[in-house]
Amino acid sequence: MLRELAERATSHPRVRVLTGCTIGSSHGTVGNFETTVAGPDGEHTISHGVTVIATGLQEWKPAAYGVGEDARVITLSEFEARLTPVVAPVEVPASVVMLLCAGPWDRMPFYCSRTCCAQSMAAALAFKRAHPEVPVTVIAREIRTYGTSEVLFTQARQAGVVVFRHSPDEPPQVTRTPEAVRVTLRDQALGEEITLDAGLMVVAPAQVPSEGACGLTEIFKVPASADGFFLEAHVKLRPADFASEGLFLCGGAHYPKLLDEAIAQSLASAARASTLLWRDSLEVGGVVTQVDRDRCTTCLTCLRVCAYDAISFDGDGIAVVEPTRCQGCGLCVSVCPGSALSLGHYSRDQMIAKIEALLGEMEGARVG
Amino acid sequence: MSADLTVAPAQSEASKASVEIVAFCCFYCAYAAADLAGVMRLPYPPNVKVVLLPCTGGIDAIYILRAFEAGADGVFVAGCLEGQCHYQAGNYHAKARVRYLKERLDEAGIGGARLEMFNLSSAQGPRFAEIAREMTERITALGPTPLRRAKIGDAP
Repeated sequence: MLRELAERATSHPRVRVLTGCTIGSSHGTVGNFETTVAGPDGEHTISHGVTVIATGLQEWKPAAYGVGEDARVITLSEFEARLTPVVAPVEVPASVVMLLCAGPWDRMPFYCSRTCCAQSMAAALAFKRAHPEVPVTVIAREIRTYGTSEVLFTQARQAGVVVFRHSPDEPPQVTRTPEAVRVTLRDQALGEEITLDAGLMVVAPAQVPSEGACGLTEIFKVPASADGFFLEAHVKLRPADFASEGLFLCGGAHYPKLLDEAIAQSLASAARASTLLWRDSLEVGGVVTQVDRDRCTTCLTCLRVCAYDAISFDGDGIAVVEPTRCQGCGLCVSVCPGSALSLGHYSRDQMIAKIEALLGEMEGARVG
Repeated sequence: MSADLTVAPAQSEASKASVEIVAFCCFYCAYAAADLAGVMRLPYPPNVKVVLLPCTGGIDAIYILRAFEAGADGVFVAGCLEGQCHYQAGNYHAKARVRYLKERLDEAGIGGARLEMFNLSSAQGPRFAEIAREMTERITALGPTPLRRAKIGDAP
């Protein structure tokens, strides 16, 4: 399905797919963005109406416990790849131990990356069904197979997958010798130390934002959480939008999601984007600078502070603001020595009325 | 006389408890952070009243001065993190303006300490609550503004 979809996207006459590129800069506003993209075949400047950020996730690297150093220790995504029939069959291990919540421990308290429990259970179940004779053990702080993925947990348990829980303060200890990969943990239910020898150890480290995604917060001026995940405009009311107009997000760039969740959000994001793209023209917001021609003294102060090149001077030497360029920051208004400028919806009178009303009300409450 | 005795402590108690602080917040960062603080249900002192601006760079000196004139005990301006202004460099302009106004407030006897500039990102809801607490503590220690003391007859 995925291959067919990729094929359709890459061969579509109106879809351009650029891979292996880095975004240089982006400016403009909704309906009129311009982004420069540097790729293997040179630099492109793309004019676009909307921006959707879908940078996805990656497994945290370097994963602990000897991933990459030892062939017997692999990550969950590598394990999943081995389960697909397309990949050439590999040697069946004598036992499988899956270690969830596998760090980064040094950055604890770390967020729960949400998807690994269900993914691990699905992988454990698939493996167990293919090789019922091989013991499969899952070690986790807590199993969170939320929603219908709880069924996977039940099925995995029924198929014979054993689950151990350990305390967050006592991460399992792993020692690697030429003979075995040995995992020692204190099980929470038994309160006793358990030692397991793993023929194959599968480590599920946290899902973190893709490399390079953090740079996008500055380029597109969109907010991200301290962990590097992009933040939507409103958790419930605008879950696929950024606060800035014309920018949308979906998938793992937002937070770790299972495939169906990511698809649902992508569809939402595409639908939101098309509400803008189907229009022939967009209305400009009222928050732009207006000029009182009688007060302008051609001092050029506004021209100097404007970061958007929105101000020019006409034949009479009077400031003229280009409303589609003006972003409505109000910087020019606050520096204008002649008070010739005012910002729509934030005029001086409105602001002062607001401040006085706010404090006047307090005064009333205090005295009364 | 007895009436005065009961009123006087209550009044000074009230003036202590209810210093009024105006926060000028930019739409993209500080206001969003204040919103987030609310969404996260973080408690912070109710003394802080938020005024929305598109960008702190657009803050006119007159807004801050008028807030003090209208009885605010403290004012803070909260913009994006330095280098991360949605409008590129508006917060630097705000910083310069706040610095200038602090001096003028010192000269006027109101006290520059009653005005402060903060920078935070839209994801820093907890930081907003912290700033609100920090500022309320500072202003409570300073007491009501001299302008208001004169108005409510609290002045010595």
